[in-house]
Formats: sequence, structure tokens, C-alpha cells
Amino acid sequence: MTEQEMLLIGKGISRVFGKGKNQQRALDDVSVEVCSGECLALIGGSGSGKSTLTRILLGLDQPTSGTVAFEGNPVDGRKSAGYQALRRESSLVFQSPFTSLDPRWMVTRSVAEPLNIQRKRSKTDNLDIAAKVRESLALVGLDPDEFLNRYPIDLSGGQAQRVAIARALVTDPKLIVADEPMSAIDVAARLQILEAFAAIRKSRPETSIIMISHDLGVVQHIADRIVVLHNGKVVESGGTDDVLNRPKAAYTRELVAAASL
Amino acid sequence: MRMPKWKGKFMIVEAKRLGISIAGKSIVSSVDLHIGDGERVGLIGSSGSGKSMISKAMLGLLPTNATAEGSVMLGDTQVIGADETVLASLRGRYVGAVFQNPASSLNPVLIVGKQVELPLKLHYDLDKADRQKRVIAMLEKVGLDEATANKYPSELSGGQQQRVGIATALITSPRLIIADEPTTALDSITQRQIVDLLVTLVDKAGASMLFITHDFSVLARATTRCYVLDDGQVIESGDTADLLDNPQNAQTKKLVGAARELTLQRKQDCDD
Repeated sequence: MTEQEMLLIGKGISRVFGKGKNQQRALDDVSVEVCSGECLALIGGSGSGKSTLTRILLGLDQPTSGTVAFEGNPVDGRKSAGYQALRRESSLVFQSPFTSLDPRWMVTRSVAEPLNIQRKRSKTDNLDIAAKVRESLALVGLDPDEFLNRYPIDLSGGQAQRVAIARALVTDPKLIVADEPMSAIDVAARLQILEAFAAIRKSRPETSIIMISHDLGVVQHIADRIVVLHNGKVVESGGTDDVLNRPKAAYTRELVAAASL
Repeated sequence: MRMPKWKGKFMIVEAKRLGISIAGKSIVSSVDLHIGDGERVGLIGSSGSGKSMISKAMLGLLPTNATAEGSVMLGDTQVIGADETVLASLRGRYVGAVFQNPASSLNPVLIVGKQVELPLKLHYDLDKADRQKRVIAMLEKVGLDEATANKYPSELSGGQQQRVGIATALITSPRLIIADEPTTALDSITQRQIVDLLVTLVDKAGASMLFITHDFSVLARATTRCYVLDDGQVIESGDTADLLDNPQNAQTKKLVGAARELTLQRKQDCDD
């Protein structure tokens, strides 16, 4: 695949926090690529640099060195074409749905919000927002009639996280980034989250997904490729099958052991 | 201390027909649960099933608007309805607790050494030098070096913080450790290290443990026997390995199924 066909490319990204003696290198020469329609899992323990990398890939933080490009356009500051396109074409799912959903808003309003913003920006009025909201909810396995008028407090953790996923996909983005979407959720409900992502992959084959996690077990069924991050460096990357069944790095083996019964 | 027996073993905890309700809403109803001397027992259920309320009842830490009925015996002391002085002498001496989020259960303005020392200071009459010796020895047992004693919780990683939490719970050598989702906030490798550490230390101390989780794969490592809780009631109990192999109840099947699904299914063993 040529660079033009890549959706998102991060090249030689380093990020240093602090100055002088307190200097901390959070990322050290990290390169990642996401192809169109691919699900990439970014795996690492706490402090490995996953979240810093995500922020940089989304243009929310600037790398100390290295570059990010979205559809061939550099993501370099808020005015850059790459950044503008990235913000329009990407959406985020956070770890805890109860802090990422407004507790005073009903499901219908939360899920519709990205579309309402888009409509204001583009000044077009031909969006059938209500239909898109229903479609998104149905895709993540929530019956619109039952859930549209609920508040987050009336949802279980798994249901609330699926609402957050519906909100992320309602604009039909090219990229969905999910930052530990299952860590705060009950084990039994994690399967529903996985099913929601599987449904997205099936019905929107063009959409790319970056799934961030510390647990190989949760990404085994969903990811095409896995990048393992440890102490700010990529220690291993490859196809899911290779990484799980033939891990090379010592750290990946530890991860494999931790995810086995 | 005279303690009730079960199958020839001393009973460390025995809850009978324990019911807890908050503002008239029943949270836990008619729970029977017991832990024998030296046993590691699990309490598993999805969020909202009432697990934490049971652990809070055992620690005498129920919210003030909660009412409890039935009986919870810690050794020969009735916890339900006991006054604060009785409970305060049980906590630390008889029962220690490890909580889910070490970042919020540790005191942020107290250095680790003081934090681990505090239960000793409150419950035992030891001189300062003796206490400090015990603190350093305890930190070493949980895998933290002496220098950690002078650090603040914020200077530690999540795993290290949880090690401090374990040290604080174990320093007074309690008979029972209640671990309420001690690994949920940690990453997968750290989770395993913390579970293994807890199991080793509890066994070495000859203590008993109640381990609370929603994850069967963690439970299988931490406990030998378990209770499955759903909607405030015990729906199944028995040997952890048996339950994992042959769950009977639909809710248990769901929890076991999820744990299996989210555990790595590998084609071949790697050669390490």
C-alpha cells in the first residue's frame, strides 16, 4: 500500500515532557500506520505512552519530533488541512461512558450532538438527524425505541458505553479511536462492546478503528494488527495471529501470559 | 477467642441471612456466606449485584442511610449493630481491607512509610524503632525497596500504590483480608502480579481472604471456593474450578463465558 492509501501515518514520533533533570521521554521514535478499513490495536501497560501517542495522532498534542499525516496531509497545528480533515473525519470513544456522556442529556441528544455541530458548520439542512441517530443505536445493539429517551443514569455500564460508540459513529467517520473502551466495564458487558465494534466493521468496512487497550484478550477477535508499546517504544508489531501465537518480544510474552487463563 | 467451627475448621467469617437495604430499596437479601480458617474465597458478580455492600457490611462501613439485618460474625463478634468502638478494634486487628483504587484509598499527603505504620500505631503498643523495622520488612515483602518509604503515593505507579495498600492491610497480621476488586484499576500484567502477591502473602501469613471481582479469570487465580452474586442474592456457590468448568446458573454461565471469550485462545503454546 502506498502512503497515499494510508489513512493515518505517524512517523518517528518522540514526545518529551519536562525540562532539564525532570525530563521524561514518553515516546521514543514511534512509527504507526493505519490503513483504510483496518482495525489496529495499540497495546501497552499503564505508562507505556499509549494515551500520549493517541493524543498526538489526533493532533491534540504536538510531538517533540516526528510527523503525523492524515490522508497524505500533514497534521501540524490547528490551521493545517490535515488537522481540519482529521477532526471532521475522526471520533473518539473514551474509557468511562459515565464521564463522557452528559448526565443531563437524554441518549437522543448525546448521540445527535456531533451531527448538530456538523450541520451548524456546513450550514446544510439536508441531514436526517433523527434517522441517523436511530440507525447508529441499532447498529450497536440498542433498540432506539427503548433507549432514545433515557438518561445515562438509567443505563448499565455496557449500555452507556454503546451509546458513546453510537455517538462516535453517527457522523460516519473514517476513523474511530477507542481509548480503553472496555476497561471500566464489567467483564460480561465487555462482550457487548466487542459485538458493537464487530457490527461496525461489518456494516462500515471503510471505517478504520484504533483500539487502545492493556489487554490482549479483549482485542484478539477484533484487531487486524497489533502494535505493542512499552516504555514509549514499539517493542513489537504485526498481524494479530502472529503477535498472539508467535510473540517475539519478552514484554509481549508477558502480556500473552497475563491474558491466558 | 471462641470461634464457631465448620468442617473442623475455625470460622473466620459467617454471614447468615444478611440483608442490606438503602432507603427502603433492597440491595442484598438473605445472603449466607462463610469463610473458614486459611481459606481464600471469592465473591463474584456484575456491577450493581451487591458485592461491595457485603464487604462494607463485614467491615462495618455501610453508608449511614443503609440498614442491615441478619447476622455477620467475625470470629465471635457480631458486626451488625455493633458500635463503633467494637468495629474499630476489629478493623486492622482482625480484618484488613484492600480497595479497588489505590490512588483514592491512600492518603495523598502521607509518605508511604507513615501510611503503612499507621495501623500498627493505632492498634499495637510498640516503640517507634520496632514499628519502623516492621514497616521496612513489610515493604520488602510486597516488593518495594526501603526508599519507597519516603515517597508520596503520587510518586508511585498504580501497581506500586496497590502494593502499598496491601502492605497497609497486612502489617497488623489480620486473620481476614477483604480485597474489593483490588486489580480492576490496573493493567493486565500488573493485575496478575498483584493477585499472585496477595495469594502468596495471605497464605504465608495463614490468613483468610475474601476476594471480590467481576472477572472469573482473576477469581480462578485468587480463590479456591466462591459465591456468585446476582441482584443481591447468592445464586450459585462451590469450588471455583468446578464452577468455571461447569456453571449451572444462567448468570454464572454468562460470567464464565465472558471470561473465556476474553481470555487468549492460542493455536499453539509459545516455547517459553
